[in-house]
Amino acid sequence: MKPAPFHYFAPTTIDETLALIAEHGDAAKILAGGQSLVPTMNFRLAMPAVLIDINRVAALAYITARDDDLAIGALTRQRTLERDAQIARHAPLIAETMPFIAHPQIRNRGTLGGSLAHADPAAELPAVMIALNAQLKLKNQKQERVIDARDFFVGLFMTALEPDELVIEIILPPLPARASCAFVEVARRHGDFALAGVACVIARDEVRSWKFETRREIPISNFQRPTSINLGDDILMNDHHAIQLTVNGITHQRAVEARMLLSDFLRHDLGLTGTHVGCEHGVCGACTILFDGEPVRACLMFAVQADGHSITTVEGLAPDENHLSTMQSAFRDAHALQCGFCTPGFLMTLDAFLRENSNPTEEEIRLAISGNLCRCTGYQNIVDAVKRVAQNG
Amino acid sequence: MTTRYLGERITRNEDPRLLTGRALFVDDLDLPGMLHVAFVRSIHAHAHIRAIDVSRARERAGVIAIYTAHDLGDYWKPGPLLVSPPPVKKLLAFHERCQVPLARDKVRYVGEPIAMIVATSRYIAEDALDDVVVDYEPLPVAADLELAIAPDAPRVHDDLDSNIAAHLIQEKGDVDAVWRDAAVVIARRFRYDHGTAAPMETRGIVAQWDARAQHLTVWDTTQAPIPIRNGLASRLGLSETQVRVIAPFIGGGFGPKIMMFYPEEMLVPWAAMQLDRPLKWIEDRRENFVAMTHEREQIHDATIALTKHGKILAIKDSFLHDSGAYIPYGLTVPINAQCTLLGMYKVPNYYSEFKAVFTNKTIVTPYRGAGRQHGVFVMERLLDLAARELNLDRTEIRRRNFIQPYEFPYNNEIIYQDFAPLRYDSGNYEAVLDRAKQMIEYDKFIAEEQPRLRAQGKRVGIGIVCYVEGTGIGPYEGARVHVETNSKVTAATGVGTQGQGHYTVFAQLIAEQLGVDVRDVRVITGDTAEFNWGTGTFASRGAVVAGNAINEAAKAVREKALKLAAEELDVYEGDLELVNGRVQVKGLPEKNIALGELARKANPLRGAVKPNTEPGLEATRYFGPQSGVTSAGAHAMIIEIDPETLQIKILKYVVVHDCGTVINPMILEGQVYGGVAQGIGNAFYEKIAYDENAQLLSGSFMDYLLPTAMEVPRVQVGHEETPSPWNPLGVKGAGEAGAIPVGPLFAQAIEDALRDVKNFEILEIPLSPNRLWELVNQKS
Repeated sequence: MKPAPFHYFAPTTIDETLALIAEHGDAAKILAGGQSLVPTMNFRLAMPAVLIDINRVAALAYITARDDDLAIGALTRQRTLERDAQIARHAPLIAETMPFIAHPQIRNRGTLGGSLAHADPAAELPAVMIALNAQLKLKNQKQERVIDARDFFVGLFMTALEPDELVIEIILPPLPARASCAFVEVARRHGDFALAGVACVIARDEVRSWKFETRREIPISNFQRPTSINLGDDILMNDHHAIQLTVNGITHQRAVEARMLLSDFLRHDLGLTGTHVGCEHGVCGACTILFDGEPVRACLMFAVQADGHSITTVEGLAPDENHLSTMQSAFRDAHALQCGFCTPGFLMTLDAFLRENSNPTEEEIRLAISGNLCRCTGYQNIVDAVKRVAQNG
Repeated sequence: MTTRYLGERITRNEDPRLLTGRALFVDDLDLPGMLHVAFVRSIHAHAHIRAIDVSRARERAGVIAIYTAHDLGDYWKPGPLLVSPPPVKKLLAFHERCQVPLARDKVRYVGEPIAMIVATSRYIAEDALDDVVVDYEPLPVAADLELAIAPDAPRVHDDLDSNIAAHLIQEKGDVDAVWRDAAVVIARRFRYDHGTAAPMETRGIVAQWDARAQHLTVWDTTQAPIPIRNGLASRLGLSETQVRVIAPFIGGGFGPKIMMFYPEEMLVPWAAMQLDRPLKWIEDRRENFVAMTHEREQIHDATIALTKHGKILAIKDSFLHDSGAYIPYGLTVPINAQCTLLGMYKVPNYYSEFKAVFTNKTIVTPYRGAGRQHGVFVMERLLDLAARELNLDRTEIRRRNFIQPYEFPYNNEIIYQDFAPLRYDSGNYEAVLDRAKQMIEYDKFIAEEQPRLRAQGKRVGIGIVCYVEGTGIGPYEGARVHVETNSKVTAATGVGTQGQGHYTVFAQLIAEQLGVDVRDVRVITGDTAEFNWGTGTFASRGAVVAGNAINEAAKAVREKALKLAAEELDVYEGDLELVNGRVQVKGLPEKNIALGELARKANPLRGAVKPNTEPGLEATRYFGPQSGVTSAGAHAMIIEIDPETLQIKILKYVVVHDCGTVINPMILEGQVYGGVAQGIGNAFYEKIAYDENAQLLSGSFMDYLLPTAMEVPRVQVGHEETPSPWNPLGVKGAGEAGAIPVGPLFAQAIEDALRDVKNFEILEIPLSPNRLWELVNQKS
């Protein structure tokens, strides 16, 4: 499943971004975290002619106190929301909710603004923002406006965002005095989109709760594709970009077509075939790599986005077959692999996990690997391998 | 001292390559000049193809070739039929209708390939898919299994007068004669819905034609490289020596990767020859959901008759089996269901009738369990219902019907999937059940834990079920064991490997015979250039059939080594032993000769050899069992159900398994854990959902829910060992066991947990919280 061709722009400022949006209008999609957009593109359910990648707009990623409010840049990663001390203090509901959103690999890329602009009715963050009385700051070339989260979401995947606008900031007012919050949801498996959930803020004089639910039976298997937007595919296919990146410590320079998935680039352009491709829609985790040290799904990124970044693949964990890393040895000793196809993804996920939590419980280990599917082992021996490493320090 | 290798937890030889990302999988190949393939697939479940317009696709830059059925000429041929029906007296019908390389006049399921596009990249090949215009005339769809056999149902194959693909009856004793003696008769309808194997690696093929050498090499994710080689050679008009099929590391198989021939398997090598360029096709996940074979849908109408003491008098079962649009794998799945239903129990009278039915859905072929699930589900549920009726304990009714250890070999008097009578070689079923009861603390849970937890308002329940697994069927496998002059050993066999640890367990067998280190044994599987004969990896037969062939070949090499060493050292063979890669005199270890040295002497460059000498320290042997061997086991589980959401938490899971002699308990347990995980998916998370037009609704990993580490519990495994008397190693297969009885286990445990909410019966798999809610809330 490979995306259709598109023109790729990577602006570095908000003004540049807004100009591109104004120029390309409906033909353009904003690429933020890409964790919903890229799977849809890989299924060719979305075939935007133009992709405006805002990941290089540094001015969109921040968390800052402003008077009593907390202002969060739209490009702030979900993983940052999960870990940030200011957010934990100011809006503990967010920190509490984050572990329910998919898996670490997804949250490492997924952004706050992207999730809100996507407005999936089954997503957690829109409900949380409404419960927190958040406001969104939207901007186009002419003006900036602020809208209550409550008014921003107008329907299934529908928001009040105008075609020429960009979500640039989320403003969280302080919680009422002595407020407490809670978030619960029901999903078939941990990390799935919720079947139903509630985000709740309770203070002495006020109860705010926001329920959300969904019935997802969207057949994305159907081979019927939307008709292609014919903007001259030949020109599109020539939308090549020069990139330079470091993989396992070695710097590579290549020209890549904009739509080349990072997973394909690593495997077929660089010959690093240890990164496996199991689904190309960001669920199985076989293609997990470390992107600037954090696990992400390589099938949900374009190679062009890796320009200037540093990547580690499974080939970077050990010099050769005779010098396994501690975790690799533990996998062998515990029989944590059978066919071995999913194994590189697990190793990359765990590499980052153990750096963060060197002495995890079984429950924490299971949660950490829940974004990686294995069809052979039943996971038990993988859990045991991690325990071995943790015990031996 | 000789080191023992058999029965030891030896870590795997194959792991370092896999762990470092250096193992070769099919998609890892990048050959110079390689082109990429994508398939135009049907968007309709049933439609006439009026026309296919590929003109726009041909014009697309980067597109090299496009093929439709009409471009294939004589190469277009259905089939072949992989498994013909067994010699059963009452085979009332069998209509061989096999898959075609590309649909020609009509499509019969969503995803059926219609055109093949070859381009310079997979990206461009997929771009060109949208350029191809197929003019369909949609037809009414045979989607529902029951409706498909109605006289006026749309016909999947126009030349047949119904959708009945096969009709078969097997009988034992006289069911009708005992019916009037029954104290209890229970009749129910059971449903078991579609599922898919979902190996983490999808299918893939790379083909390279070397025109100068006139040689074709195919890398294929198949479980059966040798039959693929033979079939390709025959279809392509080549000799078998001109074709090499390699199944390198395979990312899980579980059954569907043995289907042959898949359309893509026929087409990619053919087109590589046409174009004289290497070609690659890698199935993507969306394709995998429709283009790789499925399994599972059956509807059983079953009746059991018992005495008032709970002894089975007779079982009558009539079922429908969904074959999908074609029936290339014959009747393996429904026959497995029919046979495995009998389980561990003495069923003196049995009548089983099935109809395999064509529907406009993806083809059904074996997937881990391969019909055994259905049989076990029906039998175990019938026993649960009977126990309830007779007010007997669930384990007691099972115990009363067990085949006893002294009754083996036990003849069930019907024909199994291997065409041989269904005979069990050995077993000790009561010991298996008792062990499971003890491990799960069955009596304590029922007497103390459950009442205590119920009093706290918790909905907890226990389940315990039994099953058998016919494994290790023929016809045969072979192996060659070869000692190199460096004292290391290379062994080759024809089966393919998809993660089962063959590189290690086969090495253990050889190490045991030859006294070499397991690490010094290099096992090669799945490469037709390395071994010429064999059938494939299926029916939990690797360890049994290929394992015994390896063992025999290693034994022959051992004898050869002893004989040669006796001559060299001038001692009696009986005084020699094989230790640490050398043959040495017992009690006089300094008098020895290295195996490598013997290998050199066994292959002299000059001089004469004795008449009939076979060169080298090498032997090739074959093993062909007369019939399969029967493994058995029991699973037990304690669960808690949230009464509001009906979500399930597994608190404890126990498996007791008997597969005869254990070669490597670590690998065996791994097989069991993995099987259980798939069983849990099948029972409670995974469901291939079709709409009324046979459009797939669950074609992604977001819709088809594989269990994660959060859903699969820790499993405790207990081993019983009753070695099989029917093969020298005493082994029985284990590959599918973990997955087989999980459906009835869930059903029983859920009923038990919700007993005081509602007395209801679960007669279907898969389940889900939604479905449970419906069952709990429906009017009785």
